[in-house]
Amino acid sequence: MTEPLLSVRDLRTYFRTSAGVARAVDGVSFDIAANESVGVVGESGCGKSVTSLSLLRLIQRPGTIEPGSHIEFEGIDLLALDDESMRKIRGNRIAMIFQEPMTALNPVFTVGAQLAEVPRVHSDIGRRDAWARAVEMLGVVGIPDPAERAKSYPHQLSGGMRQRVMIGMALMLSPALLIADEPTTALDVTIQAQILELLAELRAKTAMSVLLITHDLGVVAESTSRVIVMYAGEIVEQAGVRELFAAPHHPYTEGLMAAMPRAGEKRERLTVIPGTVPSPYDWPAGCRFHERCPYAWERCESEHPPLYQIGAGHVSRCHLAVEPERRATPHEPRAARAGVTA
Amino acid sequence: MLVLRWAAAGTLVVAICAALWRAAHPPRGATGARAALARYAAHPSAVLALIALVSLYVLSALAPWLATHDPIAILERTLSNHAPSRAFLFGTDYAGRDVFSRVLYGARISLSIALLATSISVVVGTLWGVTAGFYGGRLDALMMRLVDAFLAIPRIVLLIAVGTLWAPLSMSALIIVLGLTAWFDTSRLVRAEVLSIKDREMVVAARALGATDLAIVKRHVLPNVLTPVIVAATLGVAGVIINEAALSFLGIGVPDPTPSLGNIIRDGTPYLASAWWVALFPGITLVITALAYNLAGDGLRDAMDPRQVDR
Repeated sequence: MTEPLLSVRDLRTYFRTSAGVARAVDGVSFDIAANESVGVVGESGCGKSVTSLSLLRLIQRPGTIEPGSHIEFEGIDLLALDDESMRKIRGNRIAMIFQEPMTALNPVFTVGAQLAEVPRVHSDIGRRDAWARAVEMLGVVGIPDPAERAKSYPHQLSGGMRQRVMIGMALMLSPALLIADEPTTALDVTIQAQILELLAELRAKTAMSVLLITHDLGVVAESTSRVIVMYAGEIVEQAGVRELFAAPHHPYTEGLMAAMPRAGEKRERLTVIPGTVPSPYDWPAGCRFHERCPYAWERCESEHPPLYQIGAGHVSRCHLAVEPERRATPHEPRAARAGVTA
Repeated sequence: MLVLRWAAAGTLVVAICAALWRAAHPPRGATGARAALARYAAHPSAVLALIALVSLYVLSALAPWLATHDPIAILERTLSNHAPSRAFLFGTDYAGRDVFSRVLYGARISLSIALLATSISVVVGTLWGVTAGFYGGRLDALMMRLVDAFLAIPRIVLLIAVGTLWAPLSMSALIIVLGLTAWFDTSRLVRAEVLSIKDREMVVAARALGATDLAIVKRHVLPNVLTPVIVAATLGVAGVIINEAALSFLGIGVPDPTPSLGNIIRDGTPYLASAWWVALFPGITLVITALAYNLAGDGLRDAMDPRQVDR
């Protein structure tokens, strides 16, 4: 196997506040290969956004990436770089797009000016050339009449158009890795599909890798080849997308899938995972999911499970891997018995 | 001849006001500056204030051309404290100088000082606020505690202290001193605004694409603090004018015999009972100027608030 494009080892991002230490990301390791599309799924508060911001070293005070964490990208140790070298990687080699393009774009400048700004902070390209590249990029991301549209302000564009502009900004310098943090969450379903299609198309064309962060398993199924499931600051399961959907191993992944409404299915109520995500200030001892887990037994309360190898490229942080017979006897999770519902 | 010049100046004032009035009635759906001007024009008091300011600036700018007498030359001792008449519209002061001409020139000096001093305070206050807000942490705490300390000293006391310490102040020194004692509020305002802007998603997004601090300040922070700064500056001019007048009144401001509004009022105060006109006319001018700036500032605040919906 060749060197991965991005290699994250034991990433820990903690927030030290007056209320204590929030261990938002607590020992995350994964790889992304060149031209691969990887999805990160989890509920809000599971640490997926903090993970992506950590990759770009955009964690603000009081958050810190703990010593011992390791992020290697294109053979460079990102955590050892000085600030200026790190800045040069942002936008240039790793770019990021956000959930809400309206708030991520500056309302007082035209979209063309904002696209043109990206190459201008990285090289001494002239104003005119930068504008020409901005217009070209608007065409690439599928905006009709780009020369005219470049002169529009963000509020004059629809949500889908704005997300296309954001993607265009991110791709101005042909990065090797695009981090997309919930890129379709704020959009209509039909526009969502178009944006995902655009991302897939661009990935095929430019050979970049995509790290897609979402809470929506449907989005992951459509557009990634490998899925990382995060819970309580940790990776709980990782597998190829088909393998994961065909045979989810971790009870949390199972729960997420059961909670997904399917077309043509008649259900009185949506299935939910009982309880809520625990607090990052005080993760539960043992398995962090045990209070919400229908299979949990004594071992889960005391012993923090490692990532067990389930199959080729499939790992799961669940003791069921060594005691599979327990799966036959589900029970009410403790969180449900306590009457706590999400 | 002089009548013709005054007529020309009056026409100029009317023309400027008419042009502004037309600009304030843009076609439907106008955006940006014109829509803001239209919102401004919806406030009658703000419109009056703007007319007053336009008149003040045109008349004082043309002072050498419009004055009826030399503002400094002592006409004749016998004409000391002469009541207003056709020859001396606002009368004469104790030294027999024409108050009307002195008020024209004095307004010119006072307005210029106020504008320049406010420019200094805006630049210093904005830089201070942006630096504190943007870099945060200990630097922010230190910078803002300094501002708190300065604000704890009444500004006029500070001015008198500086004024007497380095008396007599030259005109440029006066401008700098007035400017450097007027930026504290601006810096607080700017800092608060920067704090709210710097955590917005657009700033994180810009950082994620490799923007430098300077680019973020230029593209995201400054355009967004511009509105409150302009409003604060407008209100600030009124404060500076009053402070300058106060200093001049106390004899540590604009050096004699150069007229400023404060100077002329001081010259008239001892004779308030017998020659009321000497202090009254510059006093009225001062009040009108300060009031007009305050009203214009209020109008601007509404006009430039993007959340304000067009009625």
